[in-house]
Amino acid sequence: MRKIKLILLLLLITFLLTGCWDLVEINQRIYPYSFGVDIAEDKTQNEDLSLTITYPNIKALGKSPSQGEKTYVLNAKGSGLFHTARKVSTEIQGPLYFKHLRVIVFGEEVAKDPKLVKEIMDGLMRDFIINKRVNISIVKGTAEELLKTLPKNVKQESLEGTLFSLLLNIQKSTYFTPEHLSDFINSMDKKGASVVPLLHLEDGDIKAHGGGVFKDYKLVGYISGEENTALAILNNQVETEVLSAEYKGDRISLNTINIQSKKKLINDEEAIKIKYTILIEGTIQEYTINDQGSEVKDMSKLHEIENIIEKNIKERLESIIQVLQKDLNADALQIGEYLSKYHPKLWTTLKDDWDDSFPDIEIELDVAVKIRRRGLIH
Amino acid sequence: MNKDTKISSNQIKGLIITSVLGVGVLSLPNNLVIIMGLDGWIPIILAGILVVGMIFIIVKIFDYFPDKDIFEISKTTLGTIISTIYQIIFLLYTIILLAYISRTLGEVIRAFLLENTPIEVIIFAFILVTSYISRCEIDVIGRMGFFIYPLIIGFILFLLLVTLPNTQFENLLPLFQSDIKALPTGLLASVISFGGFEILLFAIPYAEDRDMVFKSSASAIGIVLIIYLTIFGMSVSQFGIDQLKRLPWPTLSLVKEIDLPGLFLENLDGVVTTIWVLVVFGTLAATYFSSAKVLANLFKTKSHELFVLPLLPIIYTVSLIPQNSIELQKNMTQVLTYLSALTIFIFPISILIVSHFKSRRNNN
Repeated sequence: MRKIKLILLLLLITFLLTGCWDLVEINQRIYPYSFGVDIAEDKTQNEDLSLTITYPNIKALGKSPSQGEKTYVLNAKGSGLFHTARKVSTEIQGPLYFKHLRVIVFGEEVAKDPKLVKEIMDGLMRDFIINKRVNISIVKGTAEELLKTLPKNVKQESLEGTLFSLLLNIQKSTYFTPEHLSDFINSMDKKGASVVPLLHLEDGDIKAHGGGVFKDYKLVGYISGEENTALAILNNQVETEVLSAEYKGDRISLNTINIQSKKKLINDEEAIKIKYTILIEGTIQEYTINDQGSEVKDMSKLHEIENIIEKNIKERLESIIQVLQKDLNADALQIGEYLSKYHPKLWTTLKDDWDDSFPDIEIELDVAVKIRRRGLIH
Repeated sequence: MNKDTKISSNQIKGLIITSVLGVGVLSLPNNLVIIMGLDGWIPIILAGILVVGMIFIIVKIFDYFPDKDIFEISKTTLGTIISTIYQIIFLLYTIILLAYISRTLGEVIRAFLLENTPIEVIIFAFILVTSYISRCEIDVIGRMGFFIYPLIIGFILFLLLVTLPNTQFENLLPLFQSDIKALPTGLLASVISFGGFEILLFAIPYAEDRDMVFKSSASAIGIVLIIYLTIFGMSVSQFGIDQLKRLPWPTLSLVKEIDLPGLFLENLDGVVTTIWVLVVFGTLAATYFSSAKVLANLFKTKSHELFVLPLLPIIYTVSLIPQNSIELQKNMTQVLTYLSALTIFIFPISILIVSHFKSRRNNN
């Protein structure tokens, strides 16, 4: 009797060993790394969004890749981001898993609709699985078109995908500034504006240049790559950059090693005045060789060059400030955020009609260029 | 009272840290920012000081009656009837607290680790595991705490290290902008998150070195205070005030922000939830133990082991009462606030006052 009981118990235990019978292996899952969001053509009530999903063909990447497409692209129409993502499941063989989602590309039409943008952002923030440092980017035209050129793109070599490696910005480009989901929402909360990288499609190649300016979850305009550099200098986001100016008919370019920008509020009685103190240190990178008199030998000449570059940069900075204050009325300089942190009392009086006050703020620039080295030749 | 059971002062330290740190660590920054804005650190510090004061009171009570346990003390000072009422309230508090903790644990695990497992299974399995350790005496739970607390501290340090690249300490500004009238509400919210130190009521009679009890438990509260302040500072500097108001579990959201270059450390939420389960295990074990102890005293049995398993279905049922996450966070916390105020503050204070007068009368 005891033996029978023991055998019965052992038999029962075997049921506990079947824990993983319905598992989905990691290579059976589909890990999308970018979403492209567009307004659907001939949109209806139930199908207003068009979602393009790209995911890597893991077998075609890595050390011993098999032949075949490196990136797969899917497209579906539906209402709402996640509902549409579910619709894609009719064309794929495994479950979608958003843990490695890295890039969201907004089509221009979607970005102009604040209600849709808010809805999408909310969905992304609410989701348990999606990482909150997803890169936000925008494209003139449709995201679908952009993402569909991805498989043809010859540059794709890394597993995380062309778009993400581009936006990761290890190359330290200042022509675009990566913007993450949580930072984007932070800027919106502070009544500021957010500049997200603008993607272009040129001859089957994808590049990031310039930015789309979002204000209150709505696309209000674009800035060019050069303007983005100026904005990044003001926001203290630049590490290295080559700045050039014309000096007595010759081009001179400066390779910067350090750019610091600080903003400060001065006299908060009548007009609000913000003073930017910008320090640029650098090395001469290019000048004219082998020409008597064109050597940089004495201090006075060095100072002259410094002044010329200073003037040049100041013009660029002034023009971007003009664009942001007068044309777009978008606080991408994060002055509102600065005031709310360091001058909370002033901010409480301004907060409610920041849109009216921001264009009238006086901005004073104090740019100092210091040339520290001349390179290997005089 | 079993004379073989002994608990060292280091174990008391571990015991208090593990039983205080628990569910509160997940939501505290959010609660405080909603109430106090960026000055949420003030109520944390004040609550810490208040709790150290309470620990002093508890230690003082046991100084008056060195040979008795808490039930005997409350009986001699407050009388049988009031003492029984207090014990029933205490029992209610521990059962609801256990249910609240296990339900929150179930919700978090379901969200971050086991998406398809029914929440009932998670809750039941977890209470079952805790019931095993709760059948032991206080010294075993103390030893468990002693093992877990270095892990917790290591985990907080690790979290601090990996979130550091993205933090903006500017977000902690401006200071001292909040309304002073909100302070009592903020204080209440942070005192609740220090709840759990009442395990001292059961631990002190078994302490090896009575003189060291206050020092080690005060330093335990100090460590918890530092952990809470760190997490508050980290959450604020990472998210800024407006976003933090939106996040019900900022500590876990922090982990979702980790994005170190090279893709070798990201999506750590699974790992962090796993470690957090250990933290909750400590809290749950201590609370479970005290509710079984109270029951044992009410029914006048020698050992509390008898009541551990019968408590299981009760806790399980109560934990499934809230229908959704709003009910769980609003209604249940409200009930817990009132009950904990009664049990962990008013109960020891009333004992101290009565015993103080009694001892004075005896001296005269």
